[in-house]
Amino acid sequence: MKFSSEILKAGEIVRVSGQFFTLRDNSVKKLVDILKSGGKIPLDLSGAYAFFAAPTPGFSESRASIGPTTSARMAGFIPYLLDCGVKGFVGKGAIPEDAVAALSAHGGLYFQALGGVGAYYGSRVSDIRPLMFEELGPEAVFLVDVADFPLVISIDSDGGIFF
Amino acid sequence: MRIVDGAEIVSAVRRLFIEINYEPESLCGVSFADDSMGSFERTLAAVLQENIEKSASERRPLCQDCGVAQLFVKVGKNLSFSGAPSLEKLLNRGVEEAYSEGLLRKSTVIDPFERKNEGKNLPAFIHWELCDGDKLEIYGIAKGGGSENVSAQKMLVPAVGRDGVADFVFETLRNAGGKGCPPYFVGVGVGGTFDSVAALAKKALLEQVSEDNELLEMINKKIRNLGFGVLGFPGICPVKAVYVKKAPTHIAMMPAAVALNCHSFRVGKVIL
Repeated sequence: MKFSSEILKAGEIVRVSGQFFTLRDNSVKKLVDILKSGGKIPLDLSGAYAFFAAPTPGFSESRASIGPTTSARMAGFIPYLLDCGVKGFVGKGAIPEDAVAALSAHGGLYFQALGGVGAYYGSRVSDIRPLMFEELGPEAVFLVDVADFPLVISIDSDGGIFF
Repeated sequence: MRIVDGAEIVSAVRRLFIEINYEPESLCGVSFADDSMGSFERTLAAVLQENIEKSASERRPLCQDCGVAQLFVKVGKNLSFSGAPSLEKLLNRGVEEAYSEGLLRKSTVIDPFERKNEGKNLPAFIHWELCDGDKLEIYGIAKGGGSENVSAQKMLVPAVGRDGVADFVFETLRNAGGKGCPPYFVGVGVGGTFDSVAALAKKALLEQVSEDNELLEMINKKIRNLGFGVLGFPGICPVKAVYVKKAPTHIAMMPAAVALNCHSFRVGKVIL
């Protein structure tokens, strides 16, 4: 993942370019169940960035929209995913204390994407492709490549917090 | 008896739900920037504005959450229709076509526990009202899970009066924070019954009216300094507009409902 500034400080807006994998209500539980049972997934989690989101269809028509969903609903899985090597999370809103503590312990990052500006973010996506759980429709795990994607740094690797 | 061609109803609903997700009249001329905003909030407000422009010009849905499809329908008693055994079937067909051809996200799951998504964004969630005459009036609203999840209703007591209702609106907004993507368009319903007051709050959003200016003024006064702004970040007030509807109610009741709508205010109407 590339960032527009070298130092990532909570409270600042940073533009990112790189790849996310999406996760949300239905998919996060299925993914974690596979991992906990020792199953393999087609994704290397170490250094990966998770985006709590579900895109609209229409990527191949260059008309997709994407944006964050409320992180608090998935925050219970953050500590485990950090243990699996995930480096950062993007979502919307504050996350509970135990997720904040786990992020601090790992030097992990939490970003907030701006809520509801699906078209704005959609135009900054260069690729969306489904990776796992396609039967979940929009809740599948997608790989999303982005360029110049503005995010608010909400928790930085020094434990700084901005909600 | 006036007979409307079923195909016309389907295509009207299809066009309505596509239009509200890309270029809703409810956002026409709306600006989110405010003189009271600091520079951070102003930056966010500019992104909201750019989002509206990009949605229209690049034909991307305003928000990735295109909602469940909710319709408020007034059916004239002298109206009939062709093309299907029920009006409900025609409305559902229109919604299905909109969400498929309109490249909208299908966010409806069939069972609240099994959570299976059938990929059609059905069923449509329909409120029916019978009226005189022979028209068919259809309001459509696309409203995502974020703002629905922070809406609230409460059975207050009559003694609390307007002040108590305004307090409840304030409390709902304070609890919502940024979770429903403010600036909010707020629909307030007062009166009716436990089930009807929530629909009343939604109708306030659809009709964008104030049926009680005294309550409106009290609400606006109380929420002026909520302490957060655009998207829940530090600011002054996260509300763009407040609408109020009221209805008769029981001598022992003061039902109140607050329907919060996010900044992507997607409401439209078609009359056949």
